[in-house]
Amino acid sequence: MSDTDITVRKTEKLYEGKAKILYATNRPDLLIQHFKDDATAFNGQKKGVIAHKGALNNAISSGIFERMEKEGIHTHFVARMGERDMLVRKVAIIPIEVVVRNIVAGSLAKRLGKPTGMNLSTPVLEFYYKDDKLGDPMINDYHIRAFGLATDEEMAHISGEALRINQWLINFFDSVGVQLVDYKLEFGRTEEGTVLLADEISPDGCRLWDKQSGEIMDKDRFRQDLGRITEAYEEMARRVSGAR
Amino acid sequence: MKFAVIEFPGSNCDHDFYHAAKHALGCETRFVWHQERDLSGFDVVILPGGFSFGDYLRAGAIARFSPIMAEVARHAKRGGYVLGVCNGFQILTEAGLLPGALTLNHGRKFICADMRLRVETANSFVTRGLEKGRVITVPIAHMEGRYIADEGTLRRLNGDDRVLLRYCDGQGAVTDQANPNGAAENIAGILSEGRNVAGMMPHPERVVEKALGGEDGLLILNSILSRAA
Amino acid sequence: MKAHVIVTLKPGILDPQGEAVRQALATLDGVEVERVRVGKYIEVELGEADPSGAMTALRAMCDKLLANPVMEDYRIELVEG
Ligand SMILES: Nc1ncnc2c1ncn2[C@@H]1O[C@H](COP(=O)(O)OP(=O)(O)OP(=O)(O)O)[C@@H](O)[C@H]1O
Ligand SMILES: [Mg+2]
Repeated sequence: MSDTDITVRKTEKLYEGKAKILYATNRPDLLIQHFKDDATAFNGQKKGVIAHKGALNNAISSGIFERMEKEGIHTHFVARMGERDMLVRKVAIIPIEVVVRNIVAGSLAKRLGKPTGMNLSTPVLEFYYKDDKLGDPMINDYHIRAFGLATDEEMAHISGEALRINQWLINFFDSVGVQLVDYKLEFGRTEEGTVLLADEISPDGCRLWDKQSGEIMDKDRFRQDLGRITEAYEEMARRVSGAR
Repeated sequence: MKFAVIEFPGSNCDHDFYHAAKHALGCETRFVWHQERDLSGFDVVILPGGFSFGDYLRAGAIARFSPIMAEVARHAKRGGYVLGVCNGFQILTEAGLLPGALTLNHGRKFICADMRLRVETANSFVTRGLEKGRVITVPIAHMEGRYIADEGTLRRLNGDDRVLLRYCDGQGAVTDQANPNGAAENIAGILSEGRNVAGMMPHPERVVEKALGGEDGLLILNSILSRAA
Repeated sequence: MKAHVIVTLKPGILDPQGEAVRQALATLDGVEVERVRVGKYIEVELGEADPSGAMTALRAMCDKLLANPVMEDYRIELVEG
């Protein structure tokens, strides 16, 4: 990059995941996340395409990150770039998926035999080891420490942030008429060692129920073949962009 | 009292206001170009109607960045009188000197017509010569005069007695039919928190003598000269 | 750095212009148009080389001039180039 280069552009493809492609850019500290229409479920056993999903998830994630940044929650978000691209700060992803639950659903309902839809009296944090080959197995603080996935200090920070983000997201979704059931977060370290919220916050990784009708507004529509999938993502994008 | 009539590129009611202040009221009146930075010695600052900067982007949006506007804000902060009429009202909302916004008339038409207006408060420098409830007739001439504000702002305006004028019928009834542009609660003019900044869509300067078709504008302009009761 | 700014009317705000466009579109055959909202599209070129700095500057431009927060929302996109 010469001194006079004031542009940002993709250089090489770094990684193609199930839902996004990660590109390097001409800026060493910045990456571009490109959102695809591809959808997978049940650890990749079910595959499909949700029309326009990439653009909608970029709109939803960018809209949420942008607001979070304004209100003091640090994320990797730098800017939206066109329909499907998001400019982000490059981080080393901590290989832990942080799941936050407010209402019983999905694997929690199955594992503990609790009724789907039951309100949890306090948010529940769960950690999963980010490894597709192993099917992202559940782990706890001891595994994280024993295998050195993150330091105790980082984990204290991540848990605190997850709960703070949770309160923010509950209020945010509530203001657009949506119940935040559960969702997955990813964190990463910058070169300087700061831990930031990374990846995306979209209906791909959240369970979202319409407050009034109870209608499912997330990827469960794809998992369970409920139809009108794009419409649900579109409705979420509309609500996020129209939020105060 | 000494009047300043601010002129922006595209102001077109500046001469009407100059005439009204100088000849109808008999006050010392000066034009002040928007590039100037001094309002010392003036008691009343008038932001006249027109299409400042061609109404580019939004009516009043560009004008508020003119050098004189910082001075207008200082004048207002000192407690000096500021009256914005039509485009002047739009500039005051864009500048944040008055709350809310003025946007496209609900009927999409440019409306130029005499309006019946009900005086909502006599506690202001532009209505203190009038009684609350009095109906006056003053023309409007605008395309973007629909006053909008969020609920909290409307509540505060009402609660603080800061609504100056509402569009009404001949009997003083505030009705939807009497609302020419879809303004929230028929609002035609408002006051700032300090009550020394006023904005209104109707043009009092256009009705200051019989030959102009009416004198109700004088009721407003004379209020500025009269001391508070 | 190049950016696109899209300014839209807040959801609750009546859009007489959009309604006029909708009525005109309704005279075209074969399409049913339920609602039209007209917004603004603005291209900005900045000398700023740092994308975060550019975004900060663009947000300030939107808050101060490009959009009126009483009635409008805005969206900023940096342009790859
Ligand atoms: N700021 C960032 N810096 C570096 N990597 C990031 C950043 N944000 C997200 N990522 C990573 O980019 C990838 C995005 O791709 P995608 O979400 O499609 O992956 P995936 O198929 O879900 O696989 P994975 O199990 O790796 O998440 C993920 O691996 C995610 O962890
Ligand atoms: Mg992923």
